[in-house]
Order: sequence, then C-alpha cells, then structure tokens
Amino acid sequence: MASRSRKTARDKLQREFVSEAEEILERMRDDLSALAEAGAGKGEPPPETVNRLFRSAHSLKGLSGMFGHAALSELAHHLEDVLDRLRLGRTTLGRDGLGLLDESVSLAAAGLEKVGRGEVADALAERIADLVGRIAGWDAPARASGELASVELPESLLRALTEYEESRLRDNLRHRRGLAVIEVELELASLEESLSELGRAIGEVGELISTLPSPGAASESRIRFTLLAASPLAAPELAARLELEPGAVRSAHAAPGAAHGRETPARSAEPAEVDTVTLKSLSETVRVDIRKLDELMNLVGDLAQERAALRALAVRLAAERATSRAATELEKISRGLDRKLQELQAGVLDVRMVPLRQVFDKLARVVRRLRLDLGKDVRLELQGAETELDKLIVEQLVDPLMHLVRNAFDHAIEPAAERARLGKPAEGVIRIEASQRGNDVAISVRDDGRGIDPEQVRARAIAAGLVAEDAGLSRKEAFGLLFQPGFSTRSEVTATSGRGVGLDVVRANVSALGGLIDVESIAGAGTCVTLTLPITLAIVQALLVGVGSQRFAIPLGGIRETLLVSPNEIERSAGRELLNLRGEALPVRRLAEEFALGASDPTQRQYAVVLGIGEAKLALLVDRLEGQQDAVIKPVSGPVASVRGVAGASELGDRSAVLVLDVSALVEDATRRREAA
Amino acid sequence: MRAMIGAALEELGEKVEIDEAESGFAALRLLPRRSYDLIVTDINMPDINGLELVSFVKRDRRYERTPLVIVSTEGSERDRDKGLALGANAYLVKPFAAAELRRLVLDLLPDARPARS
Repeated sequence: MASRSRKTARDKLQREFVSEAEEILERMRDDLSALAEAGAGKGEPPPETVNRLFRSAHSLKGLSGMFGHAALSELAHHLEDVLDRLRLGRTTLGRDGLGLLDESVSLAAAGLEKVGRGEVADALAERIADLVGRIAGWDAPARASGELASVELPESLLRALTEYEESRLRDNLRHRRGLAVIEVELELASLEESLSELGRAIGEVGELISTLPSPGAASESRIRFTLLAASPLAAPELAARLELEPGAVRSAHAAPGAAHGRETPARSAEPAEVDTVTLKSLSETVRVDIRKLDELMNLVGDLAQERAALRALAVRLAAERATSRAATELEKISRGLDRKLQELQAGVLDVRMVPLRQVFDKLARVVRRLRLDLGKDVRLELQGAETELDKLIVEQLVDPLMHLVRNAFDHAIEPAAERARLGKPAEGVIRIEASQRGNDVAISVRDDGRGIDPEQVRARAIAAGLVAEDAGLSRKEAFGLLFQPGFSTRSEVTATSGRGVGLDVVRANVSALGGLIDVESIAGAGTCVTLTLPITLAIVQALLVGVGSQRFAIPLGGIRETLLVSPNEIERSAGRELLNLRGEALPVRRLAEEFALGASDPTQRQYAVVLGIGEAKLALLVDRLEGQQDAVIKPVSGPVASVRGVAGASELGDRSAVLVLDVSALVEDATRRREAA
Repeated sequence: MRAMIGAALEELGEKVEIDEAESGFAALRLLPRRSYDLIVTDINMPDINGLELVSFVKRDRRYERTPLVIVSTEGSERDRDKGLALGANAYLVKPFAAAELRRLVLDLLPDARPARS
C-alpha cells in the first residue's frame, strides 16, 4: 500500500516535471522561430529573445537536475552556457548557431518524450554527448562592444547593473543610441502594471535596460525608481512620449545624429526548419477542463452583475445631495473596476477560444479513411483553420461537420464512372471554408457532387405527407424540408438527392449552439451547406428592450440595427406585416404578441430591432430600448423552458431577472412563416 | 528554491518567522511592512534583478545594517563581486546544503536572537 502510494506520488512528480519541461521547451521553440524570422543568422538577434532563451535553458537545467535526469540537465547546461555568451555579446550566432540550438531543443524534446513514456532519457546520452561536443566547439567571434567611458550614469545605477544589463548598455552604445535616466515615483501596490506599461512604451522607441528601486519616496506606499533606457529620441521627446514631466528624463549620453528610429532587422531568406514533433499530447496538466472555464466564466458574469449593482447604487447616491460626493468617488472606483473586469472577461474568453484546426484535422482523417474504405477519389480542401471559436462550440461542431462531410462523400459525389459520363473531373472535391463575420463564424461545406433538385425534394415531401400536395414551395423552402425530421430517414431520398441522412440532427445541434444552417444547391453541380455560429456562448452583450411592463434582453450579436418606426411605415401584404428597410422588405414581429403581453398602443411609434443571422433578417417591434448590458445566459426551468424564442434568463444589475431572446429561433421562424405565406 | 530556503531557515528555531516574496516587486512591498533581521535574495528574478534589490536595501536607512545573503547559480563572478560591493554580506552558490545556509546565517546573526528573514 505504502509503496504504491509512493509510486503514485513519484508518477505525479514525474508528470509535473514533464509538463513543466514541455512548457519551457515550447517557449524555446517559439523563441527560436522568432530568431529565425528575425534573420538571426545574418544580423543581430533581438536581445530580449536571446535573454529569454538563456533563462529557459537555465530553468530547464535546474529542473532536470532536480529530477535526476542527468543527460537532459547536461544538455541544458551547455545550452545555457552558450546562450549566456550569446546574450553577453561574447559570441555570435554565426552560420550554424541557430541550427545547433534547434537541434538541441529537438533532442531535449525527444528525451522528454521518453521520460513521459516512463523511459530513461539517458538512452539518448550518446546523441546528447555528440551535440554537447558540437556546442562546445561553437566558436564565433565576439561582437565589438561600445565604450562606457563617455557615459555619465549615476553611480548607484552603474553599480547595480548585472553583467547582462551592462552588455545591453554597451550594445546600445555601439548602435549609437542615446541613453536616458528616468526618475519616477510609483505606487507600491501597482508596481507591476506601472513598470510594464513604462517598459512597453519605452520598448516602442528603444530598450529599457535597468530598473533600480531607490529609497526616499514621499510616502510608505510609494517607491522611487531610476530607469535606464536606450533610445534614439532626445530626453524631452522621450519624456513627452512617456507622458512624464520633462524634468523626469535626463540625457546620460546623447545619440550621435539622433532620431533615426530603430533599425529593422534584415529578413531571413531561409527560415530555420522548425521541428514538427509536438509535445502537446504528452501533457495532462496544461489542459484545462472546459467546466472549470465555465465556472470561471460564470464567476466573471456574476462579477459583472455585482458591478452593475454598484453602478446603480452610485446613480442613486448621486441623486441625493448628502451623498453626491461619495457617489462621484464610487463612480470612479466602479469605472476602474469596469476596465479590469473587461480585461478579465476578455482574458477568460480568450482562453476559451480555440482554432478550428483540430476539427479540420479530424475531418481530414475521416476523409482519408473514407477514401480507403469506399475507394472513391475525393479531395478535401480546407480553408480558415485558424478561425477561432469558443472551445465548447468547436467540440459540439465535430458531429454536425462530420455528418455533412460523410454525406457529401457518400451520397453527393458521384462514383467515378458517373462523373466520367457527366464530363466532371474524376476527382471529387469537398471544400470546407471557415471565416469570421463580426460576432459570427460561418463554416461552409461545399461539394461538386450531384446537387439537389428542389422539385424532387418537394415530390418526396408530398409523398411522405410532410406538405400538402398543393403547397407552393419556394426553392429555399424546399431545401429547408431536408432538415425536417420525417424526411431524412428515407433512404431512397438520399440515393437520389444526395443529401438528407440525419440532417435534422445536424440542424438540432447547430440550433442548440444558437446557430443557423442554410443550404444552397444546383442540381448536377453541387451543394453548399453553411453553418453560421456565434463565436461564444459564455457571456453576451445584450440590448435591454421593454414591452409594456416587461423587459427582455437581446444578444447584441444578433442585432443588425435599431430604428424608430411610425405605425404607417409597417406595410401589410398577404396577411403579413413588413417593414421596408432601404428597399428590403423585412418580416415584422411584435414582441408583445410573441409573448402574449397585450397589444401596444397602435398609434404610438415603436422601435424596430433588426435581427439577423446570416442572410435571414427580421424586424422585431418593441416599446422601449433600455441600454446595453453584459448578460450571462442561464438556462431556465419550468414551463418557460420549452417556449420557443427564449434562450434563457439573465440577472440584471438591479437583481431583477429578464428572459434572453433566442435570436436564431425568432429569425428562423419568421423567415419560414414568411415563405409559407 | 524559495520554499527550500524557507524550510532550511525555519529549522533555526521556533521563533523564526519567514516571509517569502515571489518576486522582487513583492519583496519591495514586504520590506516597509515589517522589520526583518535577515534578507535572502536571488540574482535572477523576473522583474528587478537581485543587485538592484541589494542596492535598494543597502541605501534604505531602515535596512542598511541588516545582513543580506545572495544565493545564485555559479557563473558570473562579476555579479557576485558587484553584489558584495553593493553591501551584500554573503554570496552562496546554488546548489548548497541547508546546513551550510544555516551556518552562514548564524554567523551573520551572532546574537542568535530569533531571526526573521
């Protein structure tokens, strides 16, 4: 028992080692690619990248040593050594340097992979020893260094420069940049923010070399800092650029022939080969359970509500004379909170975003397998793999997309003999394209197969009893029938139409994600199915609207515009109401009627909220627009849960709850009804 | 590393209180809050470097006499010399044994009074 728990503990430690080392190696790979891109072989490598590489090698050495991986630690040690010389300007990358670094990182990764599988990395000792020997033989001349003699720096600053900082100082002098000493006094509580902001601003026009804290600040909660910066800008310009008092920046060494800006490094004509072994799959600990992200997102949403409550309180306090001053202060705090909250929200959202690539890779595998299994010659073209979506949506998309691709492969694309007879190229093509359009992502699956004949669909639908015999169906409506539950299971339909297997399931999946599905097809030429999806489900900005005494929230992503309309602008045609919007007749729906809230005064002007998803649009009439708010959509239970058009509920800042409208359902219903009319 | 140093020093006695700072900035925030008897710092830190921290501490009236130990990996002799020139009382090369650190601290705090670091 004891030995087992020891073993588990050891495994856990080993996993932690692998995951941490992986992270370091990933970072080193990134930095090496950056070096390659900056044309490191030719010009001089960006110093901050080389310094980060040095620190990574240093961390890797310590980590491997601590976990007893001698060979890895040895390799890291030599890497650290050469990177240290490189960052101190004692050697240059030379022609082979980058290749050697690349090779080292790849070898370390290979070693780590062994460790991850429970093997010993020392098995690679021979290769490592060989590489270490070559690193030791790395002999490129040192860079010339600038002279410090002509520089007037405060003694305290000079004395606290590390060797690396000193080498950066010399290097900047050699590049004939000016030096400036900057005195600032900062709040202790927000040092990180203030200094990183200053560092960023200085980085735009030069380099921040050293940050020396100094005693003697005006209060205990503050601290003085003396910064050393290199820049081609003269001291007053630098002060203006950093939004500091002119007196805060003093020139320590003027740039000869100042203000040429930073020289741009020459582009490399031959980018270094980037190793393709990916370590991602090895690691368990860097992956985050999506539910944890959900919890975090909910928390952010709750915070957003607290903030809104704070806002509301500030407004109330402001109205009272006795508390108006406190209200101003509260308002200021609330604004600060607002900014941070938005950053937090963006941060959490960003973590949730993943590129579609992983889904695309899966689809490519499926097509490869189908090609083998069915012996059909089909090429899969993918575009827009880098388009990002909420991870939850991406995961839910796998099945529908797989379905569409299988259908296209199986049923839409004709057998080779038939294609030859029709004069089509022997190789069929399925093309998947993804792109972001505002708050939506559109993914289309297009094939060059037999296409769908709407007339045939109609006939089948009548035969299946789905539509009346005399129903005049538009082209779009006929395609819409493909998604009807009763329609899809009939195998003979798939044989002739090339589409239809389980499309109702596809539509249900896509709707559940707040998306729309659209089919366009030309008989004999091919079919294109387009999915339009929101980028995220987690938190939405919503427009609050009012009808009578009720309020509703409409996600902004589904809103195209809002406008004030008079009753006489609403036209009636064939029993339907329409709004003419710049020549386009939009179907009109009244929110009051949708939820049986009693009719609004027919003589009053109302607001039209134009909803749109993909091509489909709808004008929704409401009494009032009440402003924007962040809404976390929570599922509703009870009788409301099954009401179509309701996506969920959300709590507002004043703690009241509103229903959030399901834009995709409303738009879809309206367009369908309109076509049926 | 930080935790290891902390643990090593805690063994000096029951009354030893340790505050760990995860960065140079965190250390700058801690210093005015209490009165420390000993300060231990690394050279390689993510925000300010150890020499800068030493320089700050030794120019601060409150801490100018407080013993200060730099721990760092072998390597730059120059950084070590600079650290000592700035007023650091000792320089310990990583890796080192816990006992070695304790011996050093006892040397620096001869009264063996309850040390805070």
